[in-house]
Amino acid sequence: MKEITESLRREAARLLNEGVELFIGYAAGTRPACARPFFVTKPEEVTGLVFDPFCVPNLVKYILRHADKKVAVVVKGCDRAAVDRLVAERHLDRARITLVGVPCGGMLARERVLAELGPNPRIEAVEDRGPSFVLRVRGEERTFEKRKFLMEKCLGCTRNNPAGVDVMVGKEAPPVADPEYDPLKEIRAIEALPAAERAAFWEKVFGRCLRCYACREVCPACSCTECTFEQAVPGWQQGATWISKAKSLPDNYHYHLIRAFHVAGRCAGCAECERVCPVGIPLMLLNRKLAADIASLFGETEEDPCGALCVYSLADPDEFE
Amino acid sequence: MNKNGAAERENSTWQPKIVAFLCNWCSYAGADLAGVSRLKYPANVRIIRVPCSSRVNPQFILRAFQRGADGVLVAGCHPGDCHYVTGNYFTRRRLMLFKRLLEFTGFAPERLKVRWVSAAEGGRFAETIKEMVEELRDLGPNRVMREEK
Ligand code: SF4
Ligand code: SF4
Ligand code: SF4
Repeated sequence: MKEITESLRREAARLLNEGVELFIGYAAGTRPACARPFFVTKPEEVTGLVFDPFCVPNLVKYILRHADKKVAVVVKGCDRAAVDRLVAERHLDRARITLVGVPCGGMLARERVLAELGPNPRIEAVEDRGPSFVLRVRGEERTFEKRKFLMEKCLGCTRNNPAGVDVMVGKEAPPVADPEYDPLKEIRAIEALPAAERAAFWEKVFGRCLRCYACREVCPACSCTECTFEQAVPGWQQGATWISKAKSLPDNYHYHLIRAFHVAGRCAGCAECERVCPVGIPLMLLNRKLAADIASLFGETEEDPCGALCVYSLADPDEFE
Repeated sequence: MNKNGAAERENSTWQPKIVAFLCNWCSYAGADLAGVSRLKYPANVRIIRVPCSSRVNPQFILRAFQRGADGVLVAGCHPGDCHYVTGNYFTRRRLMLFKRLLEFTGFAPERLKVRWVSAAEGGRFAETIKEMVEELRDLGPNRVMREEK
């Protein structure tokens, strides 16, 4: 990991010297086993940059706030897909941004690592040994097998070396996907439940949602400037908005079904929505279910930049009589 | 279906409510034909006329369920006969997917019906409503998303 961090700092300094105004990368977070977005504007600040298996946040959406600058941004393979999304929808001009790709050995699930290490561990170094990460904690080496400790999205990842970037740092990473991982396992299990139990499962899940909208804010596919859930209408028209600000179960259902449906066919699969949820709503279940249905109903080859629901095919199954 | 549902269903005053979104060019005309031909069908349906079945935002469907509908019908022209040429192909794709999402999150799939009804098919419209009312009677009232529980 040290080599990636070092070459990242070198590249960042070079780009900033060559006219990039803002370099978006990661710095060590204030909590253990956590990285935060880091905005570098001067070459002397690049020493703060890091890359390790805790650099989970997708930085791409931050570019939107700096559309007037020349920006360089660090992307992992899954973040790379978010760039395509925003470019296809004309929120970003690909020509103006410099993508700095990092070879990714997978991201560790923070909670699980901390459960092993105990509270407030001081992680001194991280090394990627292919099938596992080795963390040095108080001089002691602790091995974390990837199959057990990676985030779920990484277990099925086939794109950990981002393609189509402008600068690539470090050496190519070996594949991280676990061949035994089945992304549809949980989904099939829910589908197999009797209807009443399935309803009870979701009622419990949706009942927990605070409607803080963090999942929407972070999502690169949620790029509308005005959101259907928050229309700017005068008070006397509030009754005409789709859902109320108050938290209620029917409105939570409404929010989740429509949020998932709005990103159907456009979701980059970055799992950021699920990561930022303060109450642990398994949002990826909905996203993956829709992606799986799109693939099985309309074919995997559907490569329309605006997503599978903006197009149709005469050959679509005609299941409605 | 919960206990309440069963109780309400046995209570003979409960009648399923259906909200039907009908495309102006085919299905609405079909319903109209059912009317002028004096075909009998249950009076459980509230019709909302839309310019095209593809005008039906899935949020319309959820809103109907939230406001007390037990079933929702979306009807449009048969594929290939759309007044706007391609509208109902989008409807087909969209609602095929949306129906599966509803089912996945605990809705009975019978509560959302999509049907192609042409302007000449008054009988088919009446049959569709009859069929839905029967199915909904078996299912009982929708409680999953209802606002006034
Ligand atoms: S999904 Fe792939 S690219 Fe993204 S963090 Fe995991 S391994 Fe890296
Ligand atoms: S982040 Fe979680 S709690 Fe917040 S709106 Fe999304 S699902 Fe609900
Ligand atoms: S819905 Fe979630 S996984 Fe999909 S693009 Fe948005 S944040 Fe990423």
